[in-house]
Amino acid sequence: MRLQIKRLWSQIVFLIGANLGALGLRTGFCYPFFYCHACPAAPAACPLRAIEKAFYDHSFEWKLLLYPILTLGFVGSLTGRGVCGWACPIGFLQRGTGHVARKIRKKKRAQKIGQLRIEPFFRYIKYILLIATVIITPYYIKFMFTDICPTGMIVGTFPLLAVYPGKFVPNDFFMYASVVLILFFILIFIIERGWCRYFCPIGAILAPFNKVSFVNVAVNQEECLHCNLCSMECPMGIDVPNMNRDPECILCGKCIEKCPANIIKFERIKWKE
Amino acid sequence: MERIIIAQIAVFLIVTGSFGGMFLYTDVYEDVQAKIVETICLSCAKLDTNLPVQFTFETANGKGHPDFVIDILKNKGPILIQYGEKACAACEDMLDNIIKPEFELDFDKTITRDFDIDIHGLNFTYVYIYIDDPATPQEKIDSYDVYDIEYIRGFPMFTIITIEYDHSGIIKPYYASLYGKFEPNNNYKKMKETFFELIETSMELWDRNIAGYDV
Repeated sequence: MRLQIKRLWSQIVFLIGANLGALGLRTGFCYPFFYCHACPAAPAACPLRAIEKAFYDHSFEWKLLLYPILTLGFVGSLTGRGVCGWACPIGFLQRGTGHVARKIRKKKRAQKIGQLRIEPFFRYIKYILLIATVIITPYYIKFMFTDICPTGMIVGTFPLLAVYPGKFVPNDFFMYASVVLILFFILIFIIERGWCRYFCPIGAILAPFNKVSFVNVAVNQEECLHCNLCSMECPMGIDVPNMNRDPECILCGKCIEKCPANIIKFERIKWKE
Repeated sequence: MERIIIAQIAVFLIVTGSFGGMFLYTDVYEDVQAKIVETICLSCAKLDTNLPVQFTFETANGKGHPDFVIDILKNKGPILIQYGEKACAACEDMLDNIIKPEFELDFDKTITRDFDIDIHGLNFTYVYIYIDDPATPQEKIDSYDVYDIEYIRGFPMFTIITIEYDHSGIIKPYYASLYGKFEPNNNYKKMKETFFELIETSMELWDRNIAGYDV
């Protein structure tokens, strides 16, 4: 079976798993990816909600901070951001919109923007977003990432409105969250994996684990032809031939399939050289 | 052995050991399950409710009314329960704009407690249940499921309980539940009027029926 077909099946299985609450399963685990516990079918908690609760209104609860981070750390130390590429339902959504983004990327103006030197700095936004809206603003001004979360709108708010017709009406924050949601959709349609690249706070927690994960994507740089087909294929816009455990790599394996010299591989733990 | 492998194993062991330790030796799993997964902060979901207020005798989960409710109904009068949680803007809004100013209360929102209210001709017991307060008795936390008549699991929820004759002629607890900020556009005046009307109705029913109420 082709790698991308395996990945598709994995994403479908995890999407179903993320909604097992529909069968009455409600656990005390945190999702190791981006999904909302407000979803009527959610069996687990959003890690960001737990962190926000840990810091909310000048409080600090170490258990609610460590628990989601360790959940993500456990998955991250095994596969790094592989969970973004193989399990996250929002990643799955962006896999669908990526085809449109790819067509847009071929246009000259988009290529010019893509070549801007400032682009790599945009990737730090997700770390700033994580610290600012999941830790600092909940602590000081009670404003949380959850209040404007686009995933919360997609899998929480709208399904709740559908499952309980007539029971709910939108509140004050609905308008602001809708604007963020529209921007989210524009982003993922014009930039492949735009949310994962620039804004996902869960990706920001998982990214450092790419440096020490048991599984990673490795390039044999000595045999590389520098044809750049891998970089053109990479949905995260990584300079694949020169990467070394890049924090942005979601282990989707597209570069592995594209490489004509077959020198890009999944590397697992090596006990001996 | 390469340095990277030592680092990988060290990180994995630290993370797995800490995660396993938390899982086994703390109550964080139960906390996350009960206070995040099984609840919905309605303001975080960007929703208010639009439901008619209806009194009923049937409890939401089919279980009996909790002892603390029966005690208050028998000995004091009608009850207004507010269920709140941490990091819930609507819970705080309702406290700051309705409950505290209208009933002249001043208390720490993170502590579960009861108040006997006697103001504006209203006489009832206000029970504030904050599920994130570790000292909250389990009976009070479990009472949420008794009164969540719409099966929403949403916070904040307000329940007004009094006593009334049921269809078989027996006097029983009679309650209505309201969710979130139950009037659109932050109409606190309308919310206040709704609370006052409900409490007045509850007081009338309690005064009329208490003589025949036998638990």
